[in-house]
Amino acid sequence: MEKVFGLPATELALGMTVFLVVIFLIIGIGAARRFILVKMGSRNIPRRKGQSALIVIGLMLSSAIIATSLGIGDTVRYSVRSVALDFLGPTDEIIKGPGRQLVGEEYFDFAEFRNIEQVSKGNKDIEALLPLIEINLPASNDVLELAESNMRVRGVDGEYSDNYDELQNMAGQTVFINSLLDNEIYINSDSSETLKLQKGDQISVYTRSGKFEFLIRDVLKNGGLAGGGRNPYILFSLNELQELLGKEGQITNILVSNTGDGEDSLKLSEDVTKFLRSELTNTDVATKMFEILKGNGIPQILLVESNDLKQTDKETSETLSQLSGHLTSNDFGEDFVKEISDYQNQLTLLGILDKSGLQEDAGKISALSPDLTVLRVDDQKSDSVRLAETVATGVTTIFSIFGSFSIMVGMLLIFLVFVLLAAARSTELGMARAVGLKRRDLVQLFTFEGTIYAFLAAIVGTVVGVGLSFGLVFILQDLIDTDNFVITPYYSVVSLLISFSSGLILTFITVVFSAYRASNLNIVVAIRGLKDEFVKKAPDPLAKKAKDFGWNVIFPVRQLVWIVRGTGGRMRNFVLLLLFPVVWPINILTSLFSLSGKHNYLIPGIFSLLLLVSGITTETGASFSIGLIGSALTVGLFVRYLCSKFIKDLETGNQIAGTLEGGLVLISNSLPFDFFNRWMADLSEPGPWFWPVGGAISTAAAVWLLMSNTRILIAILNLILSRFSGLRAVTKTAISYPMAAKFRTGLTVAMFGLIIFTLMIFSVLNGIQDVTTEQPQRVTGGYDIKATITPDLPITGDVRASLNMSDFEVVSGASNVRVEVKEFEGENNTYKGAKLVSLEDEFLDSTLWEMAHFDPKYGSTDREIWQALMSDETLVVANATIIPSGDPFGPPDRSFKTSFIESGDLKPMDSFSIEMKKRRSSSDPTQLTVIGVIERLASGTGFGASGATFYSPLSLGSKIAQEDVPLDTFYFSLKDKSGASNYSQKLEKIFLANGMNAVSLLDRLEEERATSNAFNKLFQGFSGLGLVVGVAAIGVLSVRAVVERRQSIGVLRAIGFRSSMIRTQFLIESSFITLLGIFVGICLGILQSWLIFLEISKELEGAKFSVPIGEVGILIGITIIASILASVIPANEASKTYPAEALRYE
Amino acid sequence: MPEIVISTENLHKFYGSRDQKVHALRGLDISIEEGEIVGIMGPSGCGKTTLLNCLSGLDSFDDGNISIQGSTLTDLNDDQLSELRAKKMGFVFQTYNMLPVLTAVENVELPLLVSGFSGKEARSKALEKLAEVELEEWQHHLPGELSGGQRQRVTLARALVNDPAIVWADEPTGNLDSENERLIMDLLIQLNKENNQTFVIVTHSDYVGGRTDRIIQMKDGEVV
Repeated sequence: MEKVFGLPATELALGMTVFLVVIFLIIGIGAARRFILVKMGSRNIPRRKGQSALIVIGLMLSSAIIATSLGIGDTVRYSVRSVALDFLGPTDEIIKGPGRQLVGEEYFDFAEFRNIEQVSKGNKDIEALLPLIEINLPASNDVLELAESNMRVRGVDGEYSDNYDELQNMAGQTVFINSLLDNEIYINSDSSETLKLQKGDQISVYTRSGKFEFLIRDVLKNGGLAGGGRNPYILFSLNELQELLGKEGQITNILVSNTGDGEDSLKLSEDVTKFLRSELTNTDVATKMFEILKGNGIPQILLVESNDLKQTDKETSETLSQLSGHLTSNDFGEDFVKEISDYQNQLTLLGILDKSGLQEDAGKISALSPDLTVLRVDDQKSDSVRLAETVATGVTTIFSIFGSFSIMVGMLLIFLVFVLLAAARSTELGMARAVGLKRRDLVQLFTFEGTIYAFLAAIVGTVVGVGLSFGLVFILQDLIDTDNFVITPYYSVVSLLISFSSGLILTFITVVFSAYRASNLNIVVAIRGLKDEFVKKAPDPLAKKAKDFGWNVIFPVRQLVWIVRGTGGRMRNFVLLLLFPVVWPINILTSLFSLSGKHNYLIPGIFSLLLLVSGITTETGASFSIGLIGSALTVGLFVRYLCSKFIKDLETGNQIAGTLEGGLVLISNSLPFDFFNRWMADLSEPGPWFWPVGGAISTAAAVWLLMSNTRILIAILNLILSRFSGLRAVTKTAISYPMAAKFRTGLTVAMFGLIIFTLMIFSVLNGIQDVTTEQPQRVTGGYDIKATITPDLPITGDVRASLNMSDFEVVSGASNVRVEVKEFEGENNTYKGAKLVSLEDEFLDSTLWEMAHFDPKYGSTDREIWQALMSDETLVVANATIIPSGDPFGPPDRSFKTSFIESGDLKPMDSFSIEMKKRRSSSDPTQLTVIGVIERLASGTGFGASGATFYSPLSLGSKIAQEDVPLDTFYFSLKDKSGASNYSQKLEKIFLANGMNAVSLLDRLEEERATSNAFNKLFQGFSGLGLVVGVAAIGVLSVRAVVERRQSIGVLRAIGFRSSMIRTQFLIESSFITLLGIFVGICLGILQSWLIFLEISKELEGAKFSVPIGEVGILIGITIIASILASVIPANEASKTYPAEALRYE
Repeated sequence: MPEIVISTENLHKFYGSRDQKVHALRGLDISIEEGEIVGIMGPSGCGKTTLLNCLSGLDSFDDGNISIQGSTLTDLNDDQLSELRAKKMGFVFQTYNMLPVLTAVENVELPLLVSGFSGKEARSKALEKLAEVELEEWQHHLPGELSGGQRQRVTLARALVNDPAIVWADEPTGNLDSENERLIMDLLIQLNKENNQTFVIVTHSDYVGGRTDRIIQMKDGEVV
């Protein structure tokens, strides 16, 4: 991939590898100097094999998840790219008609090809050209009664095809278009499969003139000119097809092949496109436009606009900046022509001129526009490769975001492991310190051990991740269920390097941090097993703290001075100097905290306040949210300070402060998304990466809150459990141990909490979407079948005439016209693309699509709004796509958006005016009033409303198009609802000559629901990978607990605990910790889902919030069983320990 | 005539693998009467703690027989041994061995909860016992917040809370100063007199030995 996590992939891989090499060099030098530390650090790994395996399994997850995300992205990118390249064959660019035709394929004169051929002769970058007709036609095998309503049909000029691409039959022999005799055609292998036709068979093709039979001369291998992917194709000679269609001397496309193969030809795409666009642009018109745009300060206006758009629309911003540059420097060349000939750019320019009060200039440009381009040039291959890149990056981002929770959990595990290792070895480490080991030696010792774990984990994780990614893409392919897309597993070296390095670096950083913390022990405390309070160090005097802070502000200078003076080890200071980008801010912060002493709440307070102010002034949601959370934390920290001053009992003070810190942070992070809307301007969306960050903050706050109130928790649990006489003693110890080790318990609870939190959100949101099960008519409009026909083969006369109308309740048609729309008086006054669907009255009178918003002036119910359209031709309703959604994952939608309605607005709206005109025309616009917006659900299922769509009465379509527009879409409501699937097939047969493609809407809805559920489950499964870490953590925790508590086990056995009671105690203990995590996760998951639901329900009327009890039950069950299984072995070991042996243990 | 509550017959115990076997107990025959305070003394490694562990059912033995209040230990399975310990025995260890996560009163009530007492009953009995060892005020303190002498008194309360017939003490004053050693022994003897319980005390201390009714002197796994 070109970009990973928003950074250039190759450079990232290189940077990470260099970073790793540096890390290993530093470790290597350290190891060579003090090999004894390596020995001390590594000896425990083989000694405790089970524990080491558990640690590696837990640690590998970050590498595995990153590797999976990148692998899926790589495979998707490679597959999309392969399909595109296979589909296009040698074709790099496609030249098409000027785009003025509204319906059907746009033909142009063969003479245009001759012109292009002539001008291309001098261009070395162009290797070959091929004129052809490419359209969709129905075809059938009459013998077996098989039909395909959408067969791709190519009419290829044999004079050029031999030079362009080789056609091979299934036996691998080369065949030629020129060899085709009259009434002979080739079909590709997919056509052969679909219609069960072979060489020598007859195939029927349907055109406007009727049905024609042809002899299949041969079956060709798929790919390139014979049609790539899995699309069925028929190949005619150009003359034969022209004659068949009555389009003598006309073609639809010119395929262009660049010089060279693969990447070489791809590199030439930009130059060739520029060249062709320049050649196919009317230079006189372009010159006139250039002259107009040079004047009236327009270049400056464009530059200002470009700066304004930098954040929101990078692509347009760059285009405007380039155009401004060409105009300012009076550079009328290929680059200017390429930009100005792009139709969307013209629309953008017109909008800007209009907005700037330069209507006269806008009018001139608008008038010149239709004559500017003779033919359009599509940078097809390059676009496909770009698309592959975009899709792959999107997929990687989605998987990375879902996986980030597990990565966080993985990092917590590393931390936990080191907390446990440090605790287990505290006496040993204290002794080591007593006999002369320095603190940094302990850091090194732990780092060596951790690096070995991290290295093993990164290898295992990357391998597992690669395997997982391949597995998941195959599941994805199954879910997408498309014949046109073949998944080819692929993993690039760059991705491999990134996943291995990033996993290892993440683990390593956590290891060093944990090692630093673990090394921070007091020798006496460690040896005697005392509490830290016994040897609390007196705080440094203020003067020393101020001096430290001052030095840290000029950290690099300090390091240089120390290196020169030789203070504190030159090598160490040099390494720290090298790491100054990381160490400098950390040192400033820590010394600032130290300087502020008891008033340390002031630091987060100041930072939070700055973020809040910056968030409000720049309207940035992320800054505001973090500022708000920080402020909440500051209040908590201030209360902690007050408690330390006024409450003597330390534990009570901590409980009050912890409750407030956790509680306030949790509340501030759980406010409804529009909570502050009534007091301040709309803030920008924080972006998808804020989700895992917010989740982590909420989880940390909830765990902090919980662990600050262990006293209450123990009291409640003891009260409940004291009722079970058999378990009283066991539960008492099972609860007391984890509650006493708050830190490690909190970490483990946080791990489970984080994962359960994500899984819960999936479960609950999945339930909300199920509104379509109860009310399918909100998606289908109440119709059973939707059918489309090939626009070139319209149904003549009334469709109802060909049907037995007693079978139907409603039959209604619609026409589709591509239009351009802008707001009449709103902010969005640049023409943008949209679709106008003009509907017969039968549809308007019967549809059950519901409105998300409507203007009450036009009716009080959805039905009345639809009926209002029938009485006034200037009224339209739009689909919800016109409301900006800020969907971070979807492809960029450049179609019309309104500035009058925002996502989450209430149902009543004020109608607003728009101007609509035929696409690519300078005709006068028609002013229309948008009186309603149908809900997003309604445009969900196959209604082709991927961009902005307006719905109007039938007459408006022809009026806007200024020509008759045939009906091309039909909705059928059957009397016998159960017969939709069969009737679809029947309709396809009846209207085969029109290329009808009919689908049962309920069937499709069901398929989409199944696919959506499967996707949800897939993401749920992927997110749930973190549970493996949680379970590994429980395992590690249990193993450590058994070792640490050997003597206690002996005592318990001595006072009468049976071995089964010891086992039960350990199992209850791990289940209890797991349950706490599940509790935190479920509460947070429900809370977060509720907030999301509040947003969804604003647009999805009737949506019900429900917690899927069954699913949650299964989730709890699986998690607890897995935790119990992970602790069964250590629990058994504990129960089998002989009491005397346990009591002897030290 | 006092009843014999503890007796052994030709008791043997080995440690280690086949090649390097250590004969820890070499055919011991001892008997202890009800209400007796018996000290087991001898040099380090002579088998004192091993004998105590075998007698109390905490450790297995290889040959011979042990009878506790008429029950032969070899006839009892692990669960029955646990029940025996829960109902008829109390333990005091040199290193106190309180559960660090439980408060003083919770440590004391634990044996009662094992024996099936209700939470309320267990708490009230535990408080009684704590009062007997003069630590009622410290009931809610964790072991880490108590001194060595206080911890040992809590352990004593825990050992006696279920009114056991036999109390096993392994170097109960080993970690204490002489003042605390005296206090613990006073308490122990007072309780012995009040409840007629049997005390078996492993010790190195001549002072402790001197306050017992009888001393079993051991050397190299044998009674001398």
